[in-house]
Amino acid sequence: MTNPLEDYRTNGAWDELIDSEGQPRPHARHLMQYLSSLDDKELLSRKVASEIAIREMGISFTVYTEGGNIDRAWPFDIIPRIIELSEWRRIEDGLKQRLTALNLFINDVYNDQEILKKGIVPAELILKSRNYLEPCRGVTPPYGVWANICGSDLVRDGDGEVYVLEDNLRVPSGVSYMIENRQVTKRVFPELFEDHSILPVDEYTSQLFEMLASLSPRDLDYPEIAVLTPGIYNSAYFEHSFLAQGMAAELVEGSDLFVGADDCVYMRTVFGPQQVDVIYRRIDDIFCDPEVFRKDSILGVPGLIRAWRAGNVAIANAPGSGVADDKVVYAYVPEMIRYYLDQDPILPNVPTWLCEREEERAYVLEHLDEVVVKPANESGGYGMLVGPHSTKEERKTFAKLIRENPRNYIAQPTLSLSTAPTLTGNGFAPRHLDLRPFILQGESMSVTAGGLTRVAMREGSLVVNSSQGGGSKDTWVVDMEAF
Amino acid sequence: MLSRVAERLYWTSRYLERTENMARLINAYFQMVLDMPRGEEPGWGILLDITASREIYLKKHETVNEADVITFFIVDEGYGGSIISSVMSARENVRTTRDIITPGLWEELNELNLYVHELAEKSLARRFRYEFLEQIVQRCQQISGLVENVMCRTQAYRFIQLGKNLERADMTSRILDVGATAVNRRRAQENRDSNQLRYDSLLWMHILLSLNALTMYRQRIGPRVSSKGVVHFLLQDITFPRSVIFCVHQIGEAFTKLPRRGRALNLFAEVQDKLYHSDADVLAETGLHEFVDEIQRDLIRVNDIILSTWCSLEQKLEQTQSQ
Repeated sequence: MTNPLEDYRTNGAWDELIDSEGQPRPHARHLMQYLSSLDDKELLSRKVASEIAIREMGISFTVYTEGGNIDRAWPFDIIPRIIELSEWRRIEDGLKQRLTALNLFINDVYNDQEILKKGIVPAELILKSRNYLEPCRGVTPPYGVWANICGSDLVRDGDGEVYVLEDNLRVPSGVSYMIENRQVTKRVFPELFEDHSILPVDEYTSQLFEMLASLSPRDLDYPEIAVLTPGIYNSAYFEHSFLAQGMAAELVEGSDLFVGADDCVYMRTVFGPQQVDVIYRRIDDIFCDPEVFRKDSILGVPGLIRAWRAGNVAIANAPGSGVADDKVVYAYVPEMIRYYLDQDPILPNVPTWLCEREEERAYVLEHLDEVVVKPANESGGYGMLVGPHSTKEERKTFAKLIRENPRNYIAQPTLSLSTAPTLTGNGFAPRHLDLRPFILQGESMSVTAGGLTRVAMREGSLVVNSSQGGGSKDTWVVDMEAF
Repeated sequence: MLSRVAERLYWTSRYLERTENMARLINAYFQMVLDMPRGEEPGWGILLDITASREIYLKKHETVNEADVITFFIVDEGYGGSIISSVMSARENVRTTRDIITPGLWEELNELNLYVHELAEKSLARRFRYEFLEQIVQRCQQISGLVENVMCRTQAYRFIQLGKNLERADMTSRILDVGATAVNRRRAQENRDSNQLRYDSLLWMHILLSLNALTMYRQRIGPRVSSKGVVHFLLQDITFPRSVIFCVHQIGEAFTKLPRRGRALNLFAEVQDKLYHSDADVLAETGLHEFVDEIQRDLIRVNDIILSTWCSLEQKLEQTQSQ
C-alpha cells in the first residue's frame, strides 16, 4: 500500500493543511492520518463516488459558450480545506465589522453624504461612479442596511495573513455550492465526521429566511418572500432555485410580478394577485425597473423602485448597494471602519494602488510585470492582468487601457495565494485557493461557518473562478477544543 | 402557486399526453394498414385530418404518402404536434418547475427526450417503428404513473390533471370524428357490398384500438363492434378513462379544487350536460361530425378559461378586491 501523501510537497506558498516542514498542521492532523490510510485505489473510488453524488443531486452550473449554454456538473475536490475555530472567530468578527461599516457608508452616501463632505472618501469618486444610482437617494432601508447579503473574498498570503480581496455586494453567488459541497463530503467520507467537530453549514437557508423576513414592511409571521431570478438561462439559476426551495419562497421572474396602483408589489398566482413583502433580488439593480433604470430591461418589474421608495416592499440587496462594490471604493474601506466605527480594521485590505492617482499610476505602469491589474467594475475574474504570468503584448494592451481610463483600474501586488492538497491526476498536489464567506445583515448579523472555497485546478494558476476552470472544496471550521 | 408555474405544468402535461396519443395513433393506424386489403384503407391523409395539420403538412410535402407523413409526425421539429416537438416542449416547460414536481419525473422526461432524439430517425423504417412507438407509450405511462403515485394532490397536480384530460378529450373526439367521416364517405358511395360493411366494422375496431379501448369496449358494450356502440362508448361511457365524458369529469373535479372557479365550473356543467343529453344512437346515424365539432369548440373554451382564470399574466389588482 503506497501512501499518496508521502510525495506531497508545498510549492512555497502557505499551505492550509501542511506546514513548511511537510508536517500536517494541528487542525489537519486527523484528516491527514485518515487520508494516509487510504491507498490510490480507495481514493479514486471516493472521487468517483463524489462525481456520482454531484450528478445525482443535480448540482450544476451554467457555462456560456458560443454554441449555447451548457449545464456542467459542479467541479469538486474531495479533500476538505480546514480552518481552526479560534482563527475563524476572528475572521468572522472582521467580516461583521466590515459589512457594518460598508452599510453605514452606503446609507450615508444616499442620505447625508457626511463622509464625502469631510473628504474622507472623494465625493467625485462616488457621485460619478456608474454604480451610484441617483433614484435611490433619500431612502433608508430597514435598519439602515443596504447590502443584506455580502460575499467577501478572502485570501491568505505567503506570511499566513488573511486579507480581504473584495466585497461582493451586488448579487454574490456561490452559497448553494457551499451547502452542497458539505452534502457531498458527508456521502464520500462519512467516517471523518466521527473524529471531528465540524461546524454545520446548512443553517444558511433558515438564516437567510429570518434575515429577509426581518425586512418585511408588514408585520407577519410568514411574510411573502420571492426570489427574483433572470430565469433559467442565468449561470446561477441552480442557486436561485436551490435557495427558493430552501426557504419555501416563490421563485419568480420579472413577468410574475407587477406593481399595483397602491404602489404595492404583487405576484400573479392561481389565487389571483398576492402581495409580496420581500424580494431577494438576483438580477442586477439596473435591470430591476425599466421605468427608472434600463428602459430595455425585460427582466425587471415596472414601478418596483416606486414601491420600494414608498416602503411597501423590501429589496435585498437594496438597489444602489453596488456603489460600495467597486475596487476603487474598496481601497477606502479601512478608512470607513475608522470613521464610522472608530475601530481599527480586524481584517486587512490587500495593498491597492489607485491608477487615477498620478503617482500610483506611474508605479503601476512601471511594475506591470509584478502586479495584478483589475478593472474596478468587473467580476468573475474577467478583464484582469496577472503580471508575472502575462505576455509583453498583454502588458502593452493594459498600459494603454490604464492611460485611457485610469479611474477604471486598480493594481495590487501579486499575492501568493495559499494552497491546499488537492487530488490531481498525479496524486496530491498543492493548488491555490481563496475563500468566500457569506455575511447576512438585517435585524441581526450572521456569517456562514467557513464559506465557499474555490480552488484553481490547474497547476500554478491563481484564477479560481468556476467560469474560468476553477473548482471547489468543502470548507471545515473545526473546533479543536472539542477533543 | 405562481400563474406561470401553473401554466407550465398545464402545458407540460398536455404535451406529454399529446406525445403518447400521437405514438398510439400512428401505431394503430399502421396496424390497420397492415390489416386492410389494398385500396380499402382510408389513406395516410386521415392522420392529417385527425390532427388538423393537413395545411402545415402540404406546405412541406407535395403528396400525402406514408414516408412523408411518418417523418412529419415523428421527427419534424417544425411541426409543433410531432413526437419530437411535443417531447421537447414538455421538457422545456418543466425545466423551470423542477422544484415543484418530483425529481423522478424530471429524470424520466429527460430520458424520454434523449431516447426520442437518439432513435426517432431510425423509427421511420417500418421494421423499427412499432418498437419505437411502443417505447414512447410506455415511457409516457411511466411518467403518468409517477404523477399519480408520488405527487401530492395539491394545485400542481390539478394543473397536470387538467392538461392531460383536456388533451385526451380532444384526441378522443378527433379520432371519433375521423371514424365518422370515413364511414360516411364510404356509405355515400354506391355499389356497397357486404365486404365493405365488414371493413366498416374493422375500421371502428381500429378506432378503438388506437385508443387502447377494444378490450374495455367488449367488456362494457359487448363483443360486436358497431358504430353506435363505439360512439356511445367513446363519448359517454363514464367508466372509460379515455372517453370524452370521463375526461370532462376529471376536468370538473380539478376545477372544484381550485380557487376562483365560478366561471370554469359553469362551463364545465354546460359541457357535461351536452354530453349527457346527446343520443349516441342518433349521432351514429347523422350529425356526429357537427356534434364533435361543437365539443371541440367547447374544449377550446375550457382551455381558454383555464388560462385566463389561473395562468394569465394580465392580472390586475381589481381581482384581489373582488375575491
